[in-house]
This record gives sequence, structure tokens and C-alpha cells, in this order.
Amino acid sequence: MEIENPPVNLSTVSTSMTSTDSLLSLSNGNNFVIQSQNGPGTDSLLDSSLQLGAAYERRDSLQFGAAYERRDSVDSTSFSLRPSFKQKFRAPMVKNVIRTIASQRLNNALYDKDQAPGWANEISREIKQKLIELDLKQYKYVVNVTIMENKAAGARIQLACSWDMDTDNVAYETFKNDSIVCVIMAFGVYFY
Amino acid sequence: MEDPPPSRFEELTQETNRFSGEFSSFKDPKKTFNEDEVKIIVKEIVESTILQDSAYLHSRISNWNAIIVENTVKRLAALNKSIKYIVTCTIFEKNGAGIHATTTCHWDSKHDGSTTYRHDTNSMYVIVNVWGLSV
Repeated sequence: MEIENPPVNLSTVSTSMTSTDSLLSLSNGNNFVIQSQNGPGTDSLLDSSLQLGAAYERRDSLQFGAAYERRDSVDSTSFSLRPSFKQKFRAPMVKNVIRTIASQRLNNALYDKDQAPGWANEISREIKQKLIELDLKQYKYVVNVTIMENKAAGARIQLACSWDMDTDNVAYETFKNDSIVCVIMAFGVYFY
Repeated sequence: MEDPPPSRFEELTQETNRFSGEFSSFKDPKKTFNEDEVKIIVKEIVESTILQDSAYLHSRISNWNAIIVENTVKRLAALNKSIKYIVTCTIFEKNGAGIHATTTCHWDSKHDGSTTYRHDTNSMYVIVNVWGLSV
């Protein structure tokens, strides 16, 4: 987009203090609007000359700098380094999802060595699908389902991760009945 | 009559296409999960922690489990790649029970990966899963 004559009258401009990205768009012909996304911030009207200067600077760096950093799997216009709270992988919410699916599928099921792999497969696919439908941006998911025969064997599962505690999380759930023990772990890992 | 030789322009475009094709399939080792390397590390750690003839004791295995998992994560993080790791270790008694495990993943198949390492002793099974997700 070309900006030939900088507009004299600037209507509402809002900037966010903490956002790491911003969009420049020309709208309504002469109005200059700087929009920012994904940032909790305060709206404030800055000095108009300051806004104009900042806008031009930001625009150049967006065009040239951002292009080189663009990755295929992320939309370059709405890239952010940190998800807001609603956009985070929240363990209790995902736990509910897992619980419903597991109890639906395995209620009163008897362990069968030929059918068990199929069940594990279907459950993990269903949970992965539900996670994708949550529509959290920039998250990668790993869903692990283990189905064991309940024969009073001792067992223990331990988990360790090297990740970013702020954005990444795990939701796990155990489902037991008289013949089956099913452990489901769902991981959500943020992709910067 | 033979086809005329490809023009210099066509030759150049073919070369650049081949080059950029190679370039796009180039996997940065600092960002890609290397299965073989990780398998070697896990094997070392498990074999040094669990001696071959040990019996299954519920009080003992929590210790082993913690050691295996912690050491694996530390060694993987020390590789200094831009990869996040998830390590799970399952130890269970040999009792005749059957077990099945599946994992589904929604990730970038070019750079992310996983390995599983299985270890048997006389009285128990050890399964270590490692997932690596590039940042």
C-alpha cells in the first residue's frame, strides 16, 4: 500500500503497551488506523506527530523484517509470542474432555487383546480432534493413550518435560474398571 | 530431427529449482529431532539405572522411574537444540497382563519426532517414550 499524502486529521488511534505485533491498515481513504492484536493494553491517544513517525517506522520493519522471520505454519499477520489466558492450553478444561470421551468409549468394556489397539487408536484420535477444535492458536498436541488389562499388576508412570511452564501444559486422566486400566495424557506445546 | 538443446535460460531455471528444492528439504539439525541420538542416550540411562536381575519392588521402582526420567530430560536439554522435550517412563510388573499404547500427534512432521525405548528384565517391562517438538 502506498501512503502519498499523510492525512492531516487522525481519528481514533489505539496502541497497546504490551503487544508484540501490530497491523497497519489504511481504511476509509484518509484515516490512518494502527491496530494491535493480542495484547492487553491501555488505549491512549498519543501525540499525532509521534504516531505518524512511529507508524512509518513500524511499517518498514514489518515489511522487510517480518518477511524473513515468517514461518509456514504461522499466519504472519497475527503472530504473538505469548498466548492470552483464554488462548492457553488449560489443563482442567482438557481433563473434562478426556474424561467424557474415555467414559463413553470404555464404560463396561472388557479387555480384548485384539480390540484394545483399535480402541486406543480411536480414543487418541478423537481427543486430538477435540483439541484441534478448541482452536487454540500456535499449539502442537501430543495425545498418549495406554490401555492395560487390570490384573492387579503393579505399575507406575512418570513424566518429565523440558518446556516453557507458562505456555505448555499436560492434562492426564486414569480410567479404571474391573478389567481395564486406561491412562490418557494430552500435552499442549506452544509454537513460537 | 533432434530437439534443440535447452536454452541457457531454461538451464538456469532448472538449476535454481533444483537448488531451492534441496534447500527447502534441508533440515536444520539444531531444530530437528534426531531419533538415533536420543535412543542412544535413553538406552545408556536405563541400562545404568536398572540392573538386569532386579526384582520388581513397588517401593524401589518409584526411585528408578524418577531417576530415569530426570536424567533423560537433563541430558536432552544439554544437547542445546531449540527443541522442547517430553519424556514418560512406564514400569510395570510381568504378570501376564496385556498392554497397548498409542500416541497421536498434531505437529510439524518435518522437525518434530518421537522415539520409544523398551527394556525387559525377568520381572518387569520398562517403556520410555520421548517426544521432541521444535520451537
